[in-house]
Amino acid sequence: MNSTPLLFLGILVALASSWWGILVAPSLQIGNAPTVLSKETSQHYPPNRPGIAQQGAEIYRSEGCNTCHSQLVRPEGFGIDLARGWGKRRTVAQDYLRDSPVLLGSVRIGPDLANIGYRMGSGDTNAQPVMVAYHLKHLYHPRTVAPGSVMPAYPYLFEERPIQGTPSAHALRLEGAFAPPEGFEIVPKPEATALVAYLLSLKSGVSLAEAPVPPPPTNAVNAVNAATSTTNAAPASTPSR
Amino acid sequence: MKKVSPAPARGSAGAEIPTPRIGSYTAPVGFFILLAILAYFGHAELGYHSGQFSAGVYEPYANLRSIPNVGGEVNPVDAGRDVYAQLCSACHQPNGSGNPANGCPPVAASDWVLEEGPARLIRIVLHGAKGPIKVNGKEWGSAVGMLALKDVLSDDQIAHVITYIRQSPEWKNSASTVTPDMVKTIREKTSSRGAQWTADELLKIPTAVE
Amino acid sequence: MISTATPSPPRPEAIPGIAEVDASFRPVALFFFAKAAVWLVAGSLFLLLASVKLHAPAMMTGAAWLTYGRLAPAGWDALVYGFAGQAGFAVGLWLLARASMQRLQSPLLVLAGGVLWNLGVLAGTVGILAGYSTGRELLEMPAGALACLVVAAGLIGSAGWITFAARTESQTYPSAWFVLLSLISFVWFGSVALMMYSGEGPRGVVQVLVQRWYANGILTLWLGGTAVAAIFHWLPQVLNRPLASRSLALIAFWSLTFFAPWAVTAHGDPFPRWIVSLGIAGQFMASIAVLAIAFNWWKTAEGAFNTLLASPAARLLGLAAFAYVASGVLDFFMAFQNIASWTRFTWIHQGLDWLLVGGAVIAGLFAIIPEIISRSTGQALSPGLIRLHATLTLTGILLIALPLLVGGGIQGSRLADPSLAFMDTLRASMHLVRLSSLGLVVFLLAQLVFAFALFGLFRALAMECVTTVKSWSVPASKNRTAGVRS
Repeated sequence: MNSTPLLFLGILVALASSWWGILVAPSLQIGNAPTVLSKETSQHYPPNRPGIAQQGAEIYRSEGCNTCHSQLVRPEGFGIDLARGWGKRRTVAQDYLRDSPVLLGSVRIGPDLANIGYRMGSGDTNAQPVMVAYHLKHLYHPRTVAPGSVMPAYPYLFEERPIQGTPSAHALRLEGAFAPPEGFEIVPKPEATALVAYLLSLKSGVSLAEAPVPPPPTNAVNAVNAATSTTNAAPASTPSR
Repeated sequence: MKKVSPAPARGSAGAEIPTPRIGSYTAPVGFFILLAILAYFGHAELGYHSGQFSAGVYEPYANLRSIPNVGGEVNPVDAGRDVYAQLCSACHQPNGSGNPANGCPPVAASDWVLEEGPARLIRIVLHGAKGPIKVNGKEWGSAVGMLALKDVLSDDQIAHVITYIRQSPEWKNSASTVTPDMVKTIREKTSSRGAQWTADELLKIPTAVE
Repeated sequence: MISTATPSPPRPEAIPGIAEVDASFRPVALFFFAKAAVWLVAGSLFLLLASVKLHAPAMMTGAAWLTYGRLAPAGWDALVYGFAGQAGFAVGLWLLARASMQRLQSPLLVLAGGVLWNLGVLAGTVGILAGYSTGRELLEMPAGALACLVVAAGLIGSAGWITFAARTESQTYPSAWFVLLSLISFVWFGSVALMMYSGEGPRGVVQVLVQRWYANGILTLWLGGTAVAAIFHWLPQVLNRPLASRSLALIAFWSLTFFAPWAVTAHGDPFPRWIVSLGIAGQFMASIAVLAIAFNWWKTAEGAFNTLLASPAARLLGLAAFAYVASGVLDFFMAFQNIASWTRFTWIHQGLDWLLVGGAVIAGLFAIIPEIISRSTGQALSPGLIRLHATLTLTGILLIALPLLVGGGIQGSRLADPSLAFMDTLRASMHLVRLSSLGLVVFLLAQLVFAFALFGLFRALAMECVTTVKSWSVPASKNRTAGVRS
């Protein structure tokens, strides 16, 4: 500890060792992984996000959505993510290949969003217009669709404007206290539409070699149980658990 | 002005010293034993749960062969391609041309690979191979040789990867398929074998699996 | 490592006395602590607003820059970089100068670094509020701002190492090693993070590894190192006892340096298994350092724990030592899968951050800052205000961190029951978040008190300056010896 240069070198070597082990080695192994051809979908996984969804990713980042939401699903036994219906399988490195930045998140003040593109309340879960309308309303004012939610409202992603002639097709359908004044409508700005497109693109359900999706239960009783368990604790207006 | 801080540290002569004095306490042995136990468990964690340092092993699986192959019909060539890319391409190269620098023989258009039966190939994958081997008329081989994969890969995976190198469309190879049962038969037959195979030993074994 | 060979002894006139060493610190202390106090108030205010928004989400939703997702990171970064980092540099340099028994070398370098640092923090905070956050925890500042910080830290760190190289003591006190480590750490972690995020860096989850490695590095080595150094220096003085063991401090130093940066993953992370195991193993090894430090402090304080409860300042020091060890122990237990499976992603994460940054770093720094100010400027901060500040800070930090930790436990145990709807898991812990907001109010008040006390000090110094200048108007022959304040 008496020689300044040796101490400096010693500290540097110690710090560099973790750089090599934690950053350089993993980077060499998985830092430039290619997309894989999925047998299920016959497409490359992960797919390229459409431009508007990519813009939505920028909004997600700049609004700090990952300070409350996470985007990772842990495997069975390591957390209750799968039991809560937050994904069909755990998320792995391949799922985040096209994300930059990768916003895993570290707290769940809101539910996990890794597979929000699949999820919604009752009814036809894959109806795109229903999901879009839901998410837009949720962003505008979360408590319209999820009473008691602590998520902040994002009215500045929307525009309140006077109705010109017929109401716009994109106007949000709001009732009661949340509805705009008479003669006005709430229309999403491009940012809101982009953000919703990004949310709907969050899907990590394709089966991968390192994380296969378990096959659905085969007999009828199990199938009914599986279907009802995901909707049991989630009433119609609060799709996510 | 009245100071809030405690009295400054004083040396033995009573003069103020810049930093506190240091005593000569020696920690008991038990303390160092505790530290050693911590260090042991830390390294044990890495040792037991290393997942073979493979990019394809995620929690909760311990190794490649314990990952279930779920979801319907598997195309053995595709499955084998994945295994080859993960495990074999580092030495035998992604294009199957082998690596003269470390003695890995080629597998693309290789006479050993395209033999009538896969019995020798299955043995090589199970227990490894060492020493000089003549492939396509040229000498290959290294002192270290190929490591045994019998504990790394399951019968399915071995069958798929050998099928892939025998039938890879990219290399225009065309030979018979290898089934997991063939691998199982040979694995049981050679279960007591520990050492790597040499070319001479293999050449004495017929290529058909019976 | 403990060598008996000393460099050839410097000439006696060249060895500065303690008073000279302290006095060389004056401009740095004044500049750094003043700016740090401002950032502390700003950061606490942002964090208070953010915390209130958690249980009153309808508040102030009209403006984008006030949304929780921007306020919380901006506030936390202002606290970490604006206060903890900046005050940490000043405290660290003072500890280093004291241990080296050498005047602070290249003070202009330090001041230049300080100016650049504050510019960087300002640019970063404004950038986050304006929507340019990078989204990565503790790395939210835009790259340009981070680059400013790294360069500034390089300047400041250089001055520190130069001072150490010019030391007049042959055997240095352990605080010096930890400060030297922390001076290198920020530059190292920051520049590597900048490099790996720029251009064609690695794709995908490796980015998360970079962010985690950086965040862990700066919290445990940069801020943690300074906190440990401060407590190593101040604990024996408050207790009026020698530090128990030098060799334990040495073990702690090297194990912290080698192993602490490896503790970056947790079970269930989307990395291949070996990377997760590497991080878990690192966490085990890093605990060695925490244990060695804890044991050393325990043995130093054995039999005199009551002294740590005697005055508000001593209690602050006691909190710092306790919080540092507690956060290390909790991190150790969170490495286990059966614990992490229900504690992860809960308020415990914020609680642990506050325990380390608030409890260990901020309390540790504040335990010693009044002493540094009074020694280097010759004026003490108002004792009454400092006592009030210490009491409020202690109460505030405990009120912030403990409810978050307990609330996180409640939230986690409810999240672990899949039959409970997500919203119910939050509802049960919200009243504890309200308590935490109350803690932030108390904490903010405390920092306003400190800022006020600092303002009083500046006023007193300004009065002195005015008196000195006035005395120059008296005939020159009489006052040539009055001199100008350095």
